Amino acid sequence: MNGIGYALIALVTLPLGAIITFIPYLTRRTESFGVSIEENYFNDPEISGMRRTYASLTGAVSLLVIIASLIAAARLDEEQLGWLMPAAVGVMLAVHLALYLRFHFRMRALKKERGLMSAELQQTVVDTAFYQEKRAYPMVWLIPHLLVAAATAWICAANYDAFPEQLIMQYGLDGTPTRVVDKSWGNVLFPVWMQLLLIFIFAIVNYSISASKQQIDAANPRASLRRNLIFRRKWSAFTLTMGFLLTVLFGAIPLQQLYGFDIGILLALFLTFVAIILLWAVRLGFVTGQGGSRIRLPEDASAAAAGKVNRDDDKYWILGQFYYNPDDPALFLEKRFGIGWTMNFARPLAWIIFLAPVLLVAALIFLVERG
Amino acid sequence: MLIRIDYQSDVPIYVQLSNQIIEGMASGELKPGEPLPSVRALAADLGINLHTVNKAYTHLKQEGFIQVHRQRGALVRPDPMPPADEAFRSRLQSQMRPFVAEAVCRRMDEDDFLDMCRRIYRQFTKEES
Repeated sequence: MNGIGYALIALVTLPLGAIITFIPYLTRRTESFGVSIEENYFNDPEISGMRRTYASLTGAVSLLVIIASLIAAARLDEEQLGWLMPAAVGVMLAVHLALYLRFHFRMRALKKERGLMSAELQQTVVDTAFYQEKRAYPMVWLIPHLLVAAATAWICAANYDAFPEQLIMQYGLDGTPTRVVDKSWGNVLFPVWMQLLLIFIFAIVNYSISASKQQIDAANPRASLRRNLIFRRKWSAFTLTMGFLLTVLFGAIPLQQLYGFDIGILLALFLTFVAIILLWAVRLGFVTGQGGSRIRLPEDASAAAAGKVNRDDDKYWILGQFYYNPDDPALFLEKRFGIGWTMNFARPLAWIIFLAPVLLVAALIFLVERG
Repeated sequence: MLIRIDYQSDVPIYVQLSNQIIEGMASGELKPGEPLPSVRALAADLGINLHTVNKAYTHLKQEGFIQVHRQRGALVRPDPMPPADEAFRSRLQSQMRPFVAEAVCRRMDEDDFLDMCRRIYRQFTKEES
């Protein structure tokens, strides 16, 4: 195990641990553990106690898992190492999910017992001009990505004969080749297929950021509207930049294969890009919070609360995580626990979008495997 | 313009919707020719059935408050509403009768009633400047 292997483990597990630990603090103040409450209960001692318990337990377990994987990495052989990262991530996510469910059910009971949501004050507020606002960066920002993919395709095609007869498709965590295949058009162009797939996925993500339904706070509509627009634009910029970095990364693979420079350079590039993406995502998560709820606005102090609360839509959220509302024509909407967007699973299109990338990646790997 | 929908209210959602759009036009918050969200977008934002929004838009369209184009979507009527002609006056009169009748039944003072009408009227005309 070399330094790069350790760096990779730390690079993936540390940001993941940070995010899952602090999720309750990044979510909207009107939604605790997937249960909608009035904002003024956010700082209720019982509820903030639940957040603290969740965060300290998740944080402690994450830290233990990270330390254990770094120690274990030194003692494992190559085959076992391949399982280390998925296992560490799996344990962290399992703990996160188990604790979430525990607190979700406790929160539900608490809401019922103490009536944390007034029925009379519920309101949904919408701005009729919302879709005239700039919600995401336009799709022309994907042109640089497409140009990089085109250049990669051109380099691969023009130099096909110069590629070595055997292509290394996979490296172990210690930097040794673990899978080698015979050259074919399919696997020489593999980075290009991946680039196109990524561009397609990021186009959908960027579209969902702009198309996601408006969810503004009935207690403070104007300010939450502005926060939400800032939130969307920042994450749209992040998505498009991340897409560009990954496209460039895949563009570097055929260059390495062609010119045979040290694989360490490619790995360093990979680690740098992944580090930039993950750190940016964590930073953005803490700056914006879900829906922009953590963004400070200059007019916050003067804004008077309207004395209204959001509509209680708990019954449409299965376990507080999966939105299922056949009456709602919306396809994309904001998550309830965590940062980002989810889909209305009562719409068939949601299932198609959910499964399409999985099926496409599977198909791609299958085709390239067969050469 | 901000539209607020109360789910606990006795007033049906499509009536709340169309009433608020008319109020927005009266107060000047909705400008002539201003685009309105599509039926689908508005239904999604409110998390309600398409038919509910459709019902409100159809009503507003029939009454001449909004226009619905196949390409440009829904928009506020670009030109001013026709003046309060005889037909409108007689319709208004028949619509107001039950309200006045109930106020009389509850022994509401005439001046009180007229005062209330005036206050509501001025709420819309004041913001227009």
